[in-house]
Amino acid sequence: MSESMALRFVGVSKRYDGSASGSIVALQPTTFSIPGGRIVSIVGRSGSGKSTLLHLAAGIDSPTEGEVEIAGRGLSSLSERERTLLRRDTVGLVFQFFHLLPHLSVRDNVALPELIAGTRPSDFEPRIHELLQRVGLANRVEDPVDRLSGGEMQRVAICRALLRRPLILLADEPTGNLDDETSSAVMDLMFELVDEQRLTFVYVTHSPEVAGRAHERWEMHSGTVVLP
Amino acid sequence: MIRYFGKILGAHFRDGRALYALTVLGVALGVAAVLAVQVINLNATAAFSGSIRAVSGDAEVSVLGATPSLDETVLREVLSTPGVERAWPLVQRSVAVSGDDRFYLDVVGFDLFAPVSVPLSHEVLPEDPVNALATPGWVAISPRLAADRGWSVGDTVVVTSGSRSAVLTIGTLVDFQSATPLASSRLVTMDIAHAQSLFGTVGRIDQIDVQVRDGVAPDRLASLLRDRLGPGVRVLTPDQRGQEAAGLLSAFRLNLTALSLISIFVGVFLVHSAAQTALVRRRREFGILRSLGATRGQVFGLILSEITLLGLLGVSLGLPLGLAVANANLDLVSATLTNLYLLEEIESLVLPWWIYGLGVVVGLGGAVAGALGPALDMSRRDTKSLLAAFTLHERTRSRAPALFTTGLAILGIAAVGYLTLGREWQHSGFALAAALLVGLPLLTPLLVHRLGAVARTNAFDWRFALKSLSARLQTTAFAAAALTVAVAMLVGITLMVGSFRETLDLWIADTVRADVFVTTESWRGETDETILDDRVISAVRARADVRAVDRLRSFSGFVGDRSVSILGVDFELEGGEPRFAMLEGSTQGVARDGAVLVSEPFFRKTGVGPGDRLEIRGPNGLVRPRIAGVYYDYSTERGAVAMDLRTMTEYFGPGGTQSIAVYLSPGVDPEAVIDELRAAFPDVPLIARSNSTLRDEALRVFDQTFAITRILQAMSLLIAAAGITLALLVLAREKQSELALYRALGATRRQVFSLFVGKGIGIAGIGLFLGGLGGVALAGILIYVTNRAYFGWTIQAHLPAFDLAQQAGTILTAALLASLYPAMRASRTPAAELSRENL
Repeated sequence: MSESMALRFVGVSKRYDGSASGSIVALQPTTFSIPGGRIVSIVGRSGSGKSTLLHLAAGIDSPTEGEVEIAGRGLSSLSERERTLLRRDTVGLVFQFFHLLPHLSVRDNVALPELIAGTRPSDFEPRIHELLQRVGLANRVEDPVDRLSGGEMQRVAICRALLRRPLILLADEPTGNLDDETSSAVMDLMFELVDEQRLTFVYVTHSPEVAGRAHERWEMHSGTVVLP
Repeated sequence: MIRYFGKILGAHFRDGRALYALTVLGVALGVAAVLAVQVINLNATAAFSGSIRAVSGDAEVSVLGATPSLDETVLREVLSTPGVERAWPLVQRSVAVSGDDRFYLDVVGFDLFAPVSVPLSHEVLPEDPVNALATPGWVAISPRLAADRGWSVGDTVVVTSGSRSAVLTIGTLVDFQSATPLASSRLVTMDIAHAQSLFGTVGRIDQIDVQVRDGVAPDRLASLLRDRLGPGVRVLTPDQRGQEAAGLLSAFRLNLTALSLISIFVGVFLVHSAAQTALVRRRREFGILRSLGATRGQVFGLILSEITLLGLLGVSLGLPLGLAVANANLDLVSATLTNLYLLEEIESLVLPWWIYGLGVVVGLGGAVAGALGPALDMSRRDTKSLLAAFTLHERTRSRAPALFTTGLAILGIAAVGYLTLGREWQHSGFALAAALLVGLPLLTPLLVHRLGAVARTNAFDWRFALKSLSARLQTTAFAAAALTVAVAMLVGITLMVGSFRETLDLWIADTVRADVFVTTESWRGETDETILDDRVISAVRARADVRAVDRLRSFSGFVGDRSVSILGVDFELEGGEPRFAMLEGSTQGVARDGAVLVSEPFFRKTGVGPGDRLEIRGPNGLVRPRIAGVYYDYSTERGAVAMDLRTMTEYFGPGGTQSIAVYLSPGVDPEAVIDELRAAFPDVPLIARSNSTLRDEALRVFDQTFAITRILQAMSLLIAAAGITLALLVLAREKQSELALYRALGATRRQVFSLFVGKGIGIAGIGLFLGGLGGVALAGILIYVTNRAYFGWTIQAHLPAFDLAQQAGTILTAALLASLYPAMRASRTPAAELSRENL
């Protein structure tokens, strides 16, 4: 069953120990499966566990209990290095604050995942230009990113997330730092690209409108996922 | 505010342990370098003053020979001089313990029964004076010397002075150090008549100490004695004698001080960088304090109190470290003092309270100087800007061009100033070097920024690391600047020392051509009385395999008040080879005209050269020979005057030979000749060396002289390496989000580790490049300006490629090691550390 699933949680929970008042449960035991090509939005108040869920889904955090599977591979049996390589090859990440490197150009920021993967530039340059063309930044390739507007920065971040043709795109409040008009444009772009590339797309948002554009809209309350 | 200070202090120190530890280390190493050098400098002259006090006690005036001994008839004239209360003669001889040419005893002979003020004369006075006088060679030695050498009362010790052997009998043990702490443990006292007899100097004395009559000023009496006794003697007060030693060592001490100051300079960079980082990190805290009513002065005081505390911690570590470094280098510095300056060796360290005070001032001063800028900046900011996020590196980036221009301007002004006005100024070399070491670091921010701009990012490797160096310019440029200064010092001194060594080697090859050199075990004394037995010279001359024998007569003398080495050789020696490499003039006519040559250091320091007349103090007054030329000489920086042996006899009276240089027929094995010579004269204390052994010995002494320099270089490099660690730790912490991003994008721990090591190597590369250029310039200053001005030596520039490659390797290795810990910490950054803030 899991082979056709892009992302699967089986009894996954996350607890943070060490605070003065004891441990904090960020995610209650959760089980779900997201098939390939599915788009899921997650809404909830601050501190409800949305980002924790996303981090667990990306394999950048480990669950306290349970098993996370990405593209059919259980993360618990993998070494730290294997988890990193799996993330590199299958997951694209977009963040609220873009997380672009200010000392790099637009091109270099987009190229970062391939540089990390050790790919030869000649093998990924066409893909960079294709993506930047697609998001309307083809003429800003060599610009430093700190000269871009917020919307442009998020478009660069989207290109970076999609460069290695991931299976899953995870976005943590991708429009949380943008005005309404720009938010709408950025989400339109993301949906187009996700659709074109048939990606599994999971995103966290505060906006009911943005959340409503997904195939499924999940809510989170105090670490519990409420499935529709 | 004081309570607040107490409450937050522990938390901050715990929070930034590595940062504070590196700050303390920077201060500690700087203090240690300065303290070690000052302790050595102080004790170098203190040892000499101590030996004067031990021998002369409270004598207010000393009469000394100029060449260097005196005829004892001078004593009568001294005693008959109005104002002299008492006067007593002394014989001083540095003798070698037979069979151990490296162990010397400082024999002082005085009249055991004269009512004189020789220190410890009462203690030295034997219980059975008649027996002491009846025992030739009866001596008093210190218990420390007895313990060190395993000697006890009644033992006999064979010593040599020149070719003459003498048997000393240990008559009593006297703790000289209890009355005069700095008295040499090698001090040996005996009756003056015995000393003269044993060492073959009957009728000659070395010193007359004078006690001045009440109401007479010592200076006035000294002046009167000078007038009465003429230029053949020197009349000095103890202070003047101490000043002579200090003057002799002034260049040596000044250069060491300058080198140690570079260490504290590099340390200030480290403190500045650490303070900047710590304060930027805490800007919100200061913002909150200001918003709650804290004044600017209170915030400034808070910051300064913390820095002072760190400075004190650094000082408390630096003081023992500095003393340990001074102690560890005592033997090497002592060897330099005795080899090059003929001064007393340092046996134990005198540590007055002010030397600790100096350490505290240097440490606290360095810490406060390093932190003052960031502290003022932080305390002057308004509350709003403190609470707002801002990035310091952007300010540095915007200032980088101005800093670069300022750096270039400093270098340019220094160069132009030197070329137009500074050539005649003795200290111009230090001014140039200071300008270089201040100007160079100012170039680094723009260079690091430009390097980041041109670095291609086609791989997540060292090129990417270089690119990212420019992202936190405030941190990386400072580390690069500190390393630049350390590397400039390292390369500059290596080039200078390497060039000097090569010059010395070439000079030896050019001028020391004989095959075998023979001297006595006590050759270091530089007196006219330690002579080589004529039988040895005759026997060598008589050998069929000897082409020529060159005799050398030498002793310490004075040109005016300047102590010089006076050498006599046979300028018309047949079968010999040229022994003087000439800088100016020639050796022509020196033998016939009574002219002399002067050494380059003498020429450069006095400005007296070819065509001028010297005024040398002879036993019978001043002699005024013409200077025929200037020769290269690297044996002494005091200066030397060389003349033909016949001229020497004419000026200074007849004398013996201190050493000979033997030219062998082609194909004769020098070592075989040496063995035969030793076998032929088993009872004569000879030191015979082949040409190659002598060369090796000279180079060994040379290397010994610069050993302390290497320690100072290493300390500066260590501080700079700590700067790299600091910079990378700061990056690992400040850029946690960026590192988490790399990890989130699929970078493995190893990749992040390599990236950080790449940053460390990148900083080292910039430091090497800029420091290398600076080092070449510094070497030029040291070789062509400082050395000539202070030591009077011409050094031929030479590239010690192997040494430089070795140092480049050391610097890169140090940078690599300095990067490992921060790289390890960075590589452990989890991807989950991605903050919700922008990068």
